[in-house]
Amino acid sequence: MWPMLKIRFKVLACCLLAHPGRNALFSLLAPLVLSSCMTARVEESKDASTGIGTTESVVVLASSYHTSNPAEDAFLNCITDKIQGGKRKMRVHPSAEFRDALYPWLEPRTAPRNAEALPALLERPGVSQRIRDRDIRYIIWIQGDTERTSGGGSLSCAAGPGGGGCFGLAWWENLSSYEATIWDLDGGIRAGKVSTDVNGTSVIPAVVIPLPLIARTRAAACKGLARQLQTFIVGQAPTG
Amino acid sequence: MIKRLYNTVLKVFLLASILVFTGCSRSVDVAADFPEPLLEPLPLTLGVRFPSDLADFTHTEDPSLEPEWEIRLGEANLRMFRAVFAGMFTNVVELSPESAANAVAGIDLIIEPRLEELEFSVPNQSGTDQYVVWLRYSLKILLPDEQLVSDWRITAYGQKDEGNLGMGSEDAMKAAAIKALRDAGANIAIGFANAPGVKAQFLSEPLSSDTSEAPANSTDTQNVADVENTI
Repeated sequence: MWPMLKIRFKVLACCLLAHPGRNALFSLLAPLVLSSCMTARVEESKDASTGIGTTESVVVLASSYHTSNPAEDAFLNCITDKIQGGKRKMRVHPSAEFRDALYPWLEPRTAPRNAEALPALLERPGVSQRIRDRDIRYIIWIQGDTERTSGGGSLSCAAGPGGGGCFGLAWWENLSSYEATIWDLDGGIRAGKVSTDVNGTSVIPAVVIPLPLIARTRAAACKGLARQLQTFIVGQAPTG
Repeated sequence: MIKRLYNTVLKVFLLASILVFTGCSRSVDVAADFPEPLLEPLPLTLGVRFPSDLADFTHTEDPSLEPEWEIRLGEANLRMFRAVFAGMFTNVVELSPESAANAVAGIDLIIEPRLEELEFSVPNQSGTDQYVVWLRYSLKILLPDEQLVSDWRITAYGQKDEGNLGMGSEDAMKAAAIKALRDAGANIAIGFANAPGVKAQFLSEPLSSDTSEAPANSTDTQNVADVENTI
């Protein structure tokens, strides 16, 4: 049955253009909104059946900077917040406390590089007991980042005794690419992987007053990844 | 009216001056608590001697095109070593910098740690969004009669992103330093059994798996230390 791969592809923000005639302001802004479109792609690869008890928790950790590109703290905080809410909410154990409890085995230098090394970690003296004490079922390792992939245009501003203003148009494109690897501590295995790529173009057109239209790709990636993680863990076993 | 305007302008100027001048140097006092390592402690009594330059360690640097940084690491050094050694050994005795170990009965070995070097980089230098701290320690491992067994060199690394809009650079530098200290502690706790001379002198019986497996780069560290000792 496993591994199973699901891919979701979604266009965000541009959907506003579907009804451009609703009001005058909307019609005016619609061409600009087009320029700040975001597209999102979410992938899920499931290696094993999942599920979580009502008292069980997950812990969200940044992957090691010795082996990958760990996600920013702000992104980890966002994921932690999002997966604790909604219909499929999960309990999240504080990551700092968990790292302290298992010190030095989850430091960037010493953390298991892959799920194959997980059984060896669980066999170390005291490790399994501390995990059981906290009722932690899954570790979610997050890696990835947001980077500017391109940009251009020109925007200049000037000010004088009579006033000031800006003229021009600047744009840039951001790509937020993040991946979550889920380890099941009950079985000592990798349960699967969820990843997301969100591409967005931000623009600042200016005729006297600059009007920034920012594509918040990282926030969109956080929302998409968190929702998919909830479905991955809390949802039913995969079909097909 | 003019006087009120003058006072307002003066206040704004003074406030701006304060902001400019406080932005000319950055000071970080790294104070943190560190966890004890989750290990089976070695059945040894350690005498640890903290030199005063470790306890008072302050690094000051003025990188080009950057404000001056002052990083105070003394207290954090002591806390890290105390926590790590408490988890590694069944008994730990803290010796004063001047005292001889043989004045205290039952000590099996002495460790004298020193922080030899601290280096850092800030986002403007590296072109990334990371504050990075490197530490290099020397741990003198001695017999109770002060005879040198080895001088074990270890390195440690920590990084922290600058966060949204690059605000809070002192906090990011502090977090990077704490991560580097934790890395040093992990390196010491896991790599001690493989440190030069330790097995032969202090560990006559085979160790359990938790202390016999060295971290990823400890072999390099050991090799470097061996070479340095040989030289």
